[in-house]
Amino acid sequence: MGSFIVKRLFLAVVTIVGVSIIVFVCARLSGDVTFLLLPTDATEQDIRNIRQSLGLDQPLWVQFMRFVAAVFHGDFGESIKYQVPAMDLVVARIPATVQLTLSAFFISIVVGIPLGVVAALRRNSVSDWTIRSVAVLGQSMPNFWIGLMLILLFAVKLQWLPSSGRGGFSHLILPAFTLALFGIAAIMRVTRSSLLEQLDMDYVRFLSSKGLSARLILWKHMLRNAIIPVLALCGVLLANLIGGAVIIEAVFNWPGLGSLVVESVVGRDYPVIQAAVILTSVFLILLNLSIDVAFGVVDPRIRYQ
Amino acid sequence: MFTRVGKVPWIPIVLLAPVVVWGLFGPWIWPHEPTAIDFAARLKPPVWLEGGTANHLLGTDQFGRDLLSRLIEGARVALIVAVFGVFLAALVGVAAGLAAGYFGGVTDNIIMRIVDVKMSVPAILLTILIGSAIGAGVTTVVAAIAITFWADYARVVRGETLSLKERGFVELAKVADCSHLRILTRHILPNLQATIVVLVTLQLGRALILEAAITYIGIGIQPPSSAWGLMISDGRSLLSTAWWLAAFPGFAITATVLGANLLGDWLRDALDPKVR
Repeated sequence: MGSFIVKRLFLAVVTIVGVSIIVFVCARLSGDVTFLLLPTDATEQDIRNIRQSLGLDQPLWVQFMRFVAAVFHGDFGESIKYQVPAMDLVVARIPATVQLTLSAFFISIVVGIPLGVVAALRRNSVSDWTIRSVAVLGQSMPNFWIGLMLILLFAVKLQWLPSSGRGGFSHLILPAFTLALFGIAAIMRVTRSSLLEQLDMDYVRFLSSKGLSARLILWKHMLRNAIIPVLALCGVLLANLIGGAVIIEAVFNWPGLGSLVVESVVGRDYPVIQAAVILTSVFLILLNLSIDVAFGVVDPRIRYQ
Repeated sequence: MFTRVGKVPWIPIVLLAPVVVWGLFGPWIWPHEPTAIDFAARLKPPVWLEGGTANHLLGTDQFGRDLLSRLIEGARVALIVAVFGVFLAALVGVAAGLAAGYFGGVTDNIIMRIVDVKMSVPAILLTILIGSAIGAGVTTVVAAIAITFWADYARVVRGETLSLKERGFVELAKVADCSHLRILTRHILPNLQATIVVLVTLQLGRALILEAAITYIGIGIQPPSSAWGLMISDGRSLLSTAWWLAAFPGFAITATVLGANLLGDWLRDALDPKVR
């Protein structure tokens, strides 16, 4: 068990280093920052001075080591637009994103699992066919567009819900539901297929011939087994929701990490983008690490794969 | 699911045909020049609504440009960008997957670690990172699609290569003194055809959605081009007065993606004897 955790931990560190290399390379690709910082009439000497003060005259690997060291101290430089540390800007936006993502996650599970169970138990019925068709259709629509259409319907036409911003519960409904649509479809599909697999198992036939009621077999025995692939999906789902939130936040002007990043791209505010990408990735890597370890504890077979 | 209805995949064909025809023959069939400005016909609604004219079947935007003509031009942009992006992703991903699966060891380890890194950054953030580094434009979209999807090919192809290389015909090819390159391209790659074709089809749809999303947030295709994502983002500010501007490009995307997804499902069933 110990060596399993150490191995996973090592892989996580390697992945974090990989992410920092990507971010570092992209920063280099984005061009020479000295031109952003200097007036147009700067002399050769001015340029040399500022390059020296920024450490741009050092070899590439020295620059990378400095970058990594700064990142470990949470220092991503100052936002070009707001003149405050990029890290502070990003951290201030985290609560809004967490609220949106977790709400969508909750909706996905609460709606997706029952739909999957219904679809599996009434296989090939009208309700199964409808649920699956809606899921296929939903996965073919761009979710930012669904968001706009929901705004059109519920905010512009019916005027039931606010169209944008963050405030009370009513502000959360549209963005959270839009973001959750993808999750509902994904959870539904996995629940359905995993439950269908259980239906064919011998133990179900045995319990049923023993005289157990269908309801008891379903709730006490089948769902417990069927839920494992669904739990395994949850980590992937959370990562997808965090990514999806970027666009949804932009659509609904939700003041989270995503809309900050989108604003920063338009303003070429590179330090902020770096901070957001690295923080999000580190969070996802740690999330996957803990899920892996948790599954390793629960199911010893995984450790030997 | 839907596709088991018959042997010919009618639904995907019906959904995809307009886009392909629009993309190939756009300039010959659009009723107006997509960029033609006509202030006399600003914000006309679709023909079946009050105030609509048969001259502009789907209505016009705030500059009087014909929405249908712009949708047709958008099909061309959508197809070119999505096809290029997915093709590039397949090229890189298949090569990486073949190398990882066939050579194993250090090669496999390095490639799979790069896949891990890619998987731990959400695609959209990676795209934004690239967009902010090389600027907005078609190149960014193609690069974003390739970078987002190559890892899927790498994983699937690696898995299949691992089992294929244990098979007798690969052993025999080695005995016959074939080079690694020849074994990979002549003996292993042909057996991966079905898998790759299915994956490409399914990813075309996802690439189209990614393209629209990137363009929507402003780092993708730039005006005055009539990309569908761009049309949706232009329509956002006019949502309350001219809903059709944001709605119809979305329908076009949905129909195309649905068509690609259903075609992919059908191909998987048709090409995989195990499913049949």
